[in-house]
Amino acid sequence: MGHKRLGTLPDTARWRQLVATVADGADVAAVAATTTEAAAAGLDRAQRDPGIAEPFFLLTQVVLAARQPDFAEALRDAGLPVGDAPDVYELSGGFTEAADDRLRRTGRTDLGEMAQHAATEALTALLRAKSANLYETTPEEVRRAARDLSTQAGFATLAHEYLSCFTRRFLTYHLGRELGLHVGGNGVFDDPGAHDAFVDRLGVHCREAASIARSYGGEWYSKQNFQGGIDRPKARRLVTHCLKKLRTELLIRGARDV
Amino acid sequence: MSEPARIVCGPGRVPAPVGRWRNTKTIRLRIGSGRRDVHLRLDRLTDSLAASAAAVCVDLLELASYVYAADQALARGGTRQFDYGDRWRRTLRFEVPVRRLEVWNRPDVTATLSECLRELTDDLAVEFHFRSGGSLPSLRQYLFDGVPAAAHHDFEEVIPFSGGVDSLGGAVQEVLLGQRKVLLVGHRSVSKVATRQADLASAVVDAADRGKRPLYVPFDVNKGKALGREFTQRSRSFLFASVSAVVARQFGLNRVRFFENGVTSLNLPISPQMIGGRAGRRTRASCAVLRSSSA
Repeated sequence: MGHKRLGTLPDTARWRQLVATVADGADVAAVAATTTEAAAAGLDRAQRDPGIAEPFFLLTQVVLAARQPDFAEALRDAGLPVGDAPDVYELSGGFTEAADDRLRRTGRTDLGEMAQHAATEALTALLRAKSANLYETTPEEVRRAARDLSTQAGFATLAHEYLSCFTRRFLTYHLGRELGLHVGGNGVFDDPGAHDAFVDRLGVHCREAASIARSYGGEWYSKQNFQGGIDRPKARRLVTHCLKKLRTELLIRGARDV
Repeated sequence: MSEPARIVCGPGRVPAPVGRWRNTKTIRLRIGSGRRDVHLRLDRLTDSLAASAAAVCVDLLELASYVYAADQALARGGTRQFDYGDRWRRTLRFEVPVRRLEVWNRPDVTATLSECLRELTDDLAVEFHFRSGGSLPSLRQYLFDGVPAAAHHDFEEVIPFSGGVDSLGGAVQEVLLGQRKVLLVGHRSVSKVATRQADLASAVVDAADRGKRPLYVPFDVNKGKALGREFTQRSRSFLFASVSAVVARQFGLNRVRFFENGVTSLNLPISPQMIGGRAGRRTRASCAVLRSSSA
């Protein structure tokens, strides 16, 4: 019920450049760089959007909760509505609800939604990977997996995953208006499979680009915990810094491969 | 950020705005037949059913019609520029006259309504302010093309029936495979869809066993041409759920079955550009309406 609407790219020189880049069959690095340039205002805005830093702050609270004697209670203190023995899905659901609740108060934007999904995706993927076994995953295994992410190296992995997911979502949010128009006929993608393969390569590219924030994120986490703990303003400063680095990295990688 | 909007509904003078709503854009909505009116019309109920309609049911019908019309009267930004949802997410305040003020002013009712519509429409905030409506019309005023009372008996449930593949599949499953006698409640937003919907409903009726033939209960809710600024209609399932709940209540039924495909129900986006409620969140919100209306 109701109608869905799909957008088209703005008719400006930068976005026309992106259309031409895609139509020319350029590789993912060039497409990612051109999108980053065209969507510069969006990235600037993301650095100021409280909805970007909030899910990241929540990630820090989840992994720190795993260091407490009562994991579930600590999660509830952090705002996640979970039972006494949460599994991966309950924890992910609780994380989404907590992020939703905060976004409602700070003001919801598309950028905040992307960040929320990126954080949930990163957390779920890493917890599932770390707690997976041949049998059913127990709540204790989930807690152990979350605790693994609470070390400097573990948090570096989580921060990297979050930024990589956010970057992919940010780029495809814009590219989604154009890529589908190049499938079939004289388009650069012969079929939907070729389109999907391109999006997959874009995801790999985002992961590689986001790796610049990996060790920095881990060191930041360790330092902040040592110096009195993590709060929202600190988390926001880190995310702002990482987004600036990411933007530069995407542009450099694009220029290198063109 | 989109400009907040105050939507003053119903007949009579516009009440003075209060608080932060003093200098905001105000839209006036009335139920009627003009270019700037909200059109509401029900078919196929009997006069006696309409006459016995509870006041709170008529309130709900009007409220859902106002919400549906306002949703289309307030633009949500274009499809060209990137504003990251600034104009998509609106702040709305509905001021609605009602017959049962004590029901609508209950904190749990207003909270459920606001939360349900905020979730469904993806707006930042949806507020309600109810006022006593004085002499508002009865359901009979909205009833056209009534049917004899003999046609109304033995129904088991209500199925919202848009004529799309989900609800058509549901009707076939319930009526032809499940052998249940159902009411198909169909929303006719525009005339070109109305014919197709009626044809499909007739086909289901014709294919059903004689004692299990469904009753097609169409209703018209749309807005006058002057009110059309936005076509996404995120609140349409609220209207559907509300009318279905009222019809179920009038027939003494306690079951409404919404048939939706899983992709929609899980709110999976069809494209990465479909963020939040743009992909549709109708199932969860519909459940909230039906739960509340049965309480």
